[in-house]
Amino acid sequence: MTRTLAVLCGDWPVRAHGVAAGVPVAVFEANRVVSVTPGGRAAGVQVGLRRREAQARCPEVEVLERDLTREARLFEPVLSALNRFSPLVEVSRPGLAALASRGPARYFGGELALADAIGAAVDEALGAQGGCAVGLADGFFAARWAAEAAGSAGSSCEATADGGWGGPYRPVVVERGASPEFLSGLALDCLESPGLVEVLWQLGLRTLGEFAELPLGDVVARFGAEGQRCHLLASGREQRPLDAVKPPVDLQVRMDFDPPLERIDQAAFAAKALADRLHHELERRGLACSRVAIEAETEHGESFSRLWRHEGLLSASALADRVRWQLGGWLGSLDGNRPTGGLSHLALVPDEVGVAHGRQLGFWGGQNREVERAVQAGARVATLLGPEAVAVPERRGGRHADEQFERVPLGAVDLVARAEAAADVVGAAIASKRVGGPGPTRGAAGRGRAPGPKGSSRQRDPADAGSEPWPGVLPVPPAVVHSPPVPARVLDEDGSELEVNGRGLLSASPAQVSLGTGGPWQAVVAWAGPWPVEERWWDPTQRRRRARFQVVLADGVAHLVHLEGGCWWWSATFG
Amino acid sequence: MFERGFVIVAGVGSTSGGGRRLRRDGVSATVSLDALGERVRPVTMAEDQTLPLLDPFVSLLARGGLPRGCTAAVQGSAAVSLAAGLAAGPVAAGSWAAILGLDEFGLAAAERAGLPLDRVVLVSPPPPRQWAAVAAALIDGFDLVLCGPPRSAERSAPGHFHAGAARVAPGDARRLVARVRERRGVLVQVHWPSGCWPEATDLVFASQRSVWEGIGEGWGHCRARRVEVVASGRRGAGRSRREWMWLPGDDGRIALADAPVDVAGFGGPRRVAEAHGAAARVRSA
Repeated sequence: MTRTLAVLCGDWPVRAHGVAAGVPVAVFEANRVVSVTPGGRAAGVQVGLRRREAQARCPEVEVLERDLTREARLFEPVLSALNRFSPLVEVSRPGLAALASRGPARYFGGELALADAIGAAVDEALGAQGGCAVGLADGFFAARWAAEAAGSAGSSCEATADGGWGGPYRPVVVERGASPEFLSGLALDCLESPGLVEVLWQLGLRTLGEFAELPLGDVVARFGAEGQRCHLLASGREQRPLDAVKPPVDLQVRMDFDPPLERIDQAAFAAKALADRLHHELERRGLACSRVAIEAETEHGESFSRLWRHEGLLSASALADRVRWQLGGWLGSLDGNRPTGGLSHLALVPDEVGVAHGRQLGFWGGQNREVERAVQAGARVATLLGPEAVAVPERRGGRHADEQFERVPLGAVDLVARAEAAADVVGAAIASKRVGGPGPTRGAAGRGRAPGPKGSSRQRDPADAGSEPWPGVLPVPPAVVHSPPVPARVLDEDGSELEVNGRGLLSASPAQVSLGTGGPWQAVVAWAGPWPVEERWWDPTQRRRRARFQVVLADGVAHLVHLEGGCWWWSATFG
Repeated sequence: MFERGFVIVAGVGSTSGGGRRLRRDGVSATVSLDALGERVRPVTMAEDQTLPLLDPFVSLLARGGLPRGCTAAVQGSAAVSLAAGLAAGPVAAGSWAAILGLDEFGLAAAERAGLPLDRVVLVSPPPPRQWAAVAAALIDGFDLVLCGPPRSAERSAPGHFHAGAARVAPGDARRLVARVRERRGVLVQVHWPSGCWPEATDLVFASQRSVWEGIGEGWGHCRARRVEVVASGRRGAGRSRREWMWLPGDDGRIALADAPVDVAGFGGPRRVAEAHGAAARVRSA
């Protein structure tokens, strides 16, 4: 079991934005809080809240979007500092890194001394944003949660007193062999496997210790590979495959660029192709890798290498992201390591390779081939048209048809994980129904449930996706959305421009509509409105006031038009 | 394995009797292989080659599903809703769909009609000279490609589907059709102006008359719509079929509908609308 030291910079997503700890600031991703300052936490903002809920609890909270590249770039000084202690530093994600501590601990005179020295070095590297927690234990999982414990113990007593990020925290060192005991008191959520944790919770388990007491054989029989992985973690055993082998040299994949690449996104694209090759090669040999080194070299011979680890399998797009982060951090580094030329060489070296036991597909998933086909075609189109041109829709919520969905570039999402998550939502819902009660009553409960319409379990119910109807939203969404809206003209029967007064009353009935600049005039057959809406009236720069109408024209087609700032706009068609 | 196959063949020989006679003194190798081939041939070939559709669309097609490897065109005023409805069945059953060059596609309406957006990828309109390459790449990866016509950015007018539409070169079109056939996908052309696609598509879904319910002169809102849909085509369709559909219905879903009472004009709701409008005018006077 490797003695491992983990360095955790808590709340890294918000810290990377360079804000002060005492100010309430929260970083959001997909409308959920992912990180919050201690000041915000004191005001009641928690990770996982929606934006509205967060703003309801703390109206002055500042809202920031997540910026992964920036997080990775600003984490680079920490990694440089750690490199002074050990050449083999592995990064799990920006904000969390680990190194094997046996050698350095002997050199620096003991584990506690090493932890103190590393804590001081990282705090110095971070400057004003300093305050990192250090944990030392057997294996990465225990070390990581020891660091977590160190951070939370510090923050409870002294963190926000001076408005800084707290610290220096007292490092937590778990004695050799004491990891299972340390882990047994932690909550199940530490496993970070939501579907499994939910089921375990319903089975009455609350801590890792209780889970670890279950016989491994039964856990594997019921929960498969995922259950086995989590059980090993919970019982404080190394989760890395025990039969890890040193990879033969030819497993690494490399690519030379001539002319050298000038932009990071080009490199990320190349990395995706490289990662595909690497996966193919590993798959062919029945291997899987949990740690990979990314080596980059410029045309002037400067080289930069970093180890990345991942609990599961690193997918191709996840690897491409890490290449992007690493190169971004390299370009942003302030000391003498900055590259001076374009990127001429990129290599992915699998570092820790084990026999692939295969990821067990859920009962409800298993459409990975289709996903991979789609991802490949999407990546191909992205090379033709640019990364922004291929996108997937993500619900954002909004009152108007053009605000309800956002196009997220394909490169920024992991479609495989997304499809699995969608399947997991369905799977977890079914699983939670299945494990409803003890044996004898289960069947009865199952029979008592009225079978839903066929196929309804397949598709996600829109109501489940966390989208309560917005106040003021039109009940029937239009099939064609013009974004931005197109100019239009609306006349009444006398041929004069239709107006809506300040109280939302119409000057006359609409009789004729011209859609688009210089579009033909069409008679109005039926109409409804105005539905006035005034948004963000408290914000002088973003306030909008509009009156919406539906008009059905002589050809039987219904349109949505609105009056805003004295002009008529054509915003949607019910095509 | 061969031995097992042989046993099955013997079974076939003894029970089928009719067309193919097996020799009594021994089973000849060729006959047994033929029979084996017969026996192991997939029995659901026609089924395999269609994509499942939502129930209301089933009656429009002779084979009850969207034949794989075909091109389809969706036309008329309700083309986009119709395209979303066509895609909903296959995507709900696990296929992936790409939407190419249709920035106006109303995602909320499509989701309400039953299209799961988890398996939908959106592609912005490419410049016309790259259109064929992009479409070909998408056909490789997606069972269903919904596409608008190639449009040149400088001549297109927002809100008008047909403005600035460019023609697909005959060679490109032929290659795309061949590709669709080879990859067993379906290419759906949404609201293309005539003349942009030099080939004839295999299937045509045209939305013709439509009647909105729930809206009058100054009251209500667009609640549900009946659309007359005509499906015609060359492969798998045969004669043209005509159905009235709720597109969308009261609950947002697509369903078959009865023809409106007065389909000549827009009499149904219009008449009601006029009555209400008159009443409203009287009140305001």
